[in-house]
Amino acid sequence: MSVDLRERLDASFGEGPGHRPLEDRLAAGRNALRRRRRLVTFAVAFGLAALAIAPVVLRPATDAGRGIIPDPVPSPSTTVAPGHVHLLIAPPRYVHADTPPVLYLFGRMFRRDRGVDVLATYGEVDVAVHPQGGAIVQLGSRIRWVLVVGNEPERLDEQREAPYDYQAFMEWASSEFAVMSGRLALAATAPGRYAPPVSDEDSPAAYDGDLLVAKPGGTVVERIHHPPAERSAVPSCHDQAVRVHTSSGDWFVLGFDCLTQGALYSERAGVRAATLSSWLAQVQRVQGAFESVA
Amino acid sequence: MRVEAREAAYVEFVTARQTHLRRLAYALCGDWRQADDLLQAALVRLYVAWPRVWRLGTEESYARRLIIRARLDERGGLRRRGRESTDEHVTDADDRTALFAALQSLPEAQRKAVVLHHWLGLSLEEAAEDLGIPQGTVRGHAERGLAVLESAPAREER
Repeated sequence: MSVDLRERLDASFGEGPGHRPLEDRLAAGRNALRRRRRLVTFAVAFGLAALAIAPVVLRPATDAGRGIIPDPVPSPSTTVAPGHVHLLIAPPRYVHADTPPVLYLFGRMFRRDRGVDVLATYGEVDVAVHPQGGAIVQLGSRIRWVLVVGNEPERLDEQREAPYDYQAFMEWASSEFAVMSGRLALAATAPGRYAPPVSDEDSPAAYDGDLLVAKPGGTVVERIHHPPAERSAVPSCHDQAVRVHTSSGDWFVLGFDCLTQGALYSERAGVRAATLSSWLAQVQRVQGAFESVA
Repeated sequence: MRVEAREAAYVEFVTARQTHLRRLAYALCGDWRQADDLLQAALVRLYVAWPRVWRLGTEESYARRLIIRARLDERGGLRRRGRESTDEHVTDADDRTALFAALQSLPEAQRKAVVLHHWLGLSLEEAAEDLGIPQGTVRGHAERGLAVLESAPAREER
């Protein structure tokens, strides 16, 4: 790192206009703190009421991790003209209602059907053990970014509607793959038949500010701040693990919240471990192993 | 932590560091109003988390991470949150150089890596932790960004 460049950068712009009054800063902080306390109080009260009057049924995780993220898009500044990539069409027996526009079979990327026009791909080469990649596709008049980790049917995908921009797509992919791999590692190594990872919506916990709390109907009975974890899948920002007690059973949830990126890894207690600490140790091991394969 | 003590420590930190933190935000987005909005959003979250981060002595890195991890919008600016930030407004064109323009021309990930590693002087490990991405990815972004900046004019007047 050049000291000269650092000094040049430092001198390349000024200090800007005057600051807001400190009282404005304090007032905004106090309001936020009040809102947070009200929210926590409401959640606790609602949870107790729900436990008292009715059993709470958690939704099954049938659509886990397969939602289209409606969030808009990074910068289109480096767009190059899209081309067309030829991918084979997947055999119909591998295509289901929730199959994304591109999918992996035996380490090779396929397109779902003839309606998928592939404009660009990433990582489509054969990686039979642990494929991960993505594509920018056109479906009619709409452009969609698709990321896929894992061969069918042990697959996890993320999608978003966005204009064609390969570099922005790659940046999105680089931040998403670690979490996707971490989720898939958990799902793929759980005993029994493969089930997709539990989505954040279906998790019994959620972040409230900096704290991982139980959703209404549940109670956090154990918490570990900064738990041992595979850091590529669980960056160390507000990282926590909790055991949540619900009327339908206990859950382990490991999460992080980095402002623009966050994820929860959720699993029912007892599936692979009886205690939160032993569950964390196993999750760290399988997520680390998955990352090393990738 | 009593409210008075909490607020006194918070005010002391904000007074000392808000100019630096807003410059950081400006280096990322290139717009003073949006930089001010981002700083305000970060300081609000910092206030809520203050007892914990102050006890750990991590208030500076906590605020920096909130700013650095904000997502930039399609024009390279920060997503707007809430009201207009300030009545005063310095036109950006008055306040930038060719080097700064080159910094703003970088893709978001490269710009963030350059700002953390080459301007703030954070190690790759620290930058990776701030950004929540692997060190190797930060190194790649920082190297590509640096190559662009090195082609910017060496002498410039503000």
